[in-house]
Amino acid sequence: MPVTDARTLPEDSLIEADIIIVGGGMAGLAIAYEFAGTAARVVILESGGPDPDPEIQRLYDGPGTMSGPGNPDLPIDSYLGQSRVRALGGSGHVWGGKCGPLDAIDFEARPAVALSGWPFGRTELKPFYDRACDRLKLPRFPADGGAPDGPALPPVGAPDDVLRPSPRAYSPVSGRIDPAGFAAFRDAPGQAENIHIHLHANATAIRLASDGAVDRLEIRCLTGRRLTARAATYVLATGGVENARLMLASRQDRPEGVGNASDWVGRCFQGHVVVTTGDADPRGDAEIAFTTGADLSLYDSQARDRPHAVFVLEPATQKRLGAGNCTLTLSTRPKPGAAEGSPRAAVEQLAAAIEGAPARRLDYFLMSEEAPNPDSRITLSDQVDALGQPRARLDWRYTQADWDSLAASARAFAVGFAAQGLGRVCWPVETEGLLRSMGPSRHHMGTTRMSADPARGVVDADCRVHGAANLFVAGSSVFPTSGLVNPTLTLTALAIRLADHLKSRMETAR
Amino acid sequence: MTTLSKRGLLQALAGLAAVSVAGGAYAAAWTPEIAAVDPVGAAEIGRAWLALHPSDAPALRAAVFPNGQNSETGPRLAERVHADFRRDAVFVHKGWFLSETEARICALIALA
Repeated sequence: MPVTDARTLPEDSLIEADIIIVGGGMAGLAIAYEFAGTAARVVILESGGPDPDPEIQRLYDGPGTMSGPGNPDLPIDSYLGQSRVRALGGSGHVWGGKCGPLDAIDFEARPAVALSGWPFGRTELKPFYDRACDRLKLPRFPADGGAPDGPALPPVGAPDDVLRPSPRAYSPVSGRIDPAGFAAFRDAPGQAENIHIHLHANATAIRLASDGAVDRLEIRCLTGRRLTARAATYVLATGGVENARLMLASRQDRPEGVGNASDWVGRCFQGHVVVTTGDADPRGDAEIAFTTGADLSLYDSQARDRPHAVFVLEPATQKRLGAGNCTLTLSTRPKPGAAEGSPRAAVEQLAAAIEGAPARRLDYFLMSEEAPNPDSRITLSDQVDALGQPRARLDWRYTQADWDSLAASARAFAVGFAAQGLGRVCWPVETEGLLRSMGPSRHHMGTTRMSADPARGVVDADCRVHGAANLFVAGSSVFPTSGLVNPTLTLTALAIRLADHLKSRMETAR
Repeated sequence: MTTLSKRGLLQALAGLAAVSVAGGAYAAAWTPEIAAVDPVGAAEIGRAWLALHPSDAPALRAAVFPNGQNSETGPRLAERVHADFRRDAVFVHKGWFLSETEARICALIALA
């Protein structure tokens, strides 16, 4: 089927299909793959072209602020423009390929994590994780949390109830590592007869019928051209910020926007951050003086050619601490020796003396789960983009509970390693200065959160928008909680699950 | 983290002054590995411990070597250190998580 440049269509053209997918990123493509070669007519509306373009990219720009107790607000005005890619293939263009399933505990309702709990558990998602692994050319991850297609991950030190290894693997479908391979992955769905990709087609409004279902989409091109798109079923797959932005901006038929009757659209923004310090940090370096002779190559996070592992706190430990999930990722690059006369030299030597083994220092970083916070949110700013659309504003807020969870988890890792005689841990990060120790990722989650209860979320367990019979959302914006694994595998699994659901609906409708 | 009162600080400094004269009271027959620990870095940690626990100084040796020093000192020290960590008896200095036993060893080094 052709790929059409929407800018070349006549003014007021009508695009029709059985299913319209708004957004040709990783989630949208995952759905298109599932429908390729079927009888369904599928249209992908993509704002960008095949490759990133600075003018189109600027449609993402918007103001942003990170904040948290005990820290000065941190302006992040460049974040929204730089943390994603508006082109066919989406942020897959810059994706490094890191994958893993969420932990089973991530799906649970946990007293220590506000608003936690998915409508289903990891068991429900397991077959879709397997298919997502196949799609992303990964070995499958076993249900028990072990290494993909391999033996169980060996414990480091004596098995205990504090920490364990958690597997990760790199997908070769990575625009950052293999642009040509990624281009082939990106373009394959469009080669199916029933998939029609419209480039440079920006959905600017979701228009509703009187019953709350979607009637049509208003489409605009940067050239000013206006189009209309109509289908039986619509899927929003524009990313964790834009899904909410489009729903909030579609105020023509509902003043609160689409799917926002209970005021959850845009709320509970969560984004993974890496927390660490470096050699030059006056507070100290986040490092571990290992005194185990064990082979740590399993924890080499740069090993792209084989599965590897991060450390995670056991569910029982998380519950005992009243903390959310937390992972520790090791860098296995050797470090220079500590300077003489420094406490770090003394600690390293003392630990070696106590444990009877030479110490080697390695860097690490922590990722700590951010509890869903209704005040951490995407809203519409007063600024407008080149299409006349209100720009997104990100107000990314951490709470004292997030800080406490991180501190408790860091201590648990440090004490857990040392209690097993594995080494000594330096975690020099205090609450004050925490924000400047954080490195935000490109993972945007939670803004159209999933909940079986319409009063507590935007989409139901099938990713259908509450109150809109034919509108669905794909992507990490539906995650009720974020876990700590890169979200692409999970959002792909959810997209495949959604595709199955849509096929089932279409069968029933026939 | 506990805040050291001005009075406590004065007590600690007074204690340090006293032992600097009678440093031999804090000397220990360390294993060669502990004897080789960077004395400057260890002393900094030790002073930080004493600043927070000024009354600990007189009983340091007894706390580190409750059964006296003998050939089993090394393994017993490791056991005691691990036990400290398991019961969360931890001292944090510049981000480093040490067992209280290790902090006391550093204090002995500082006072020796």
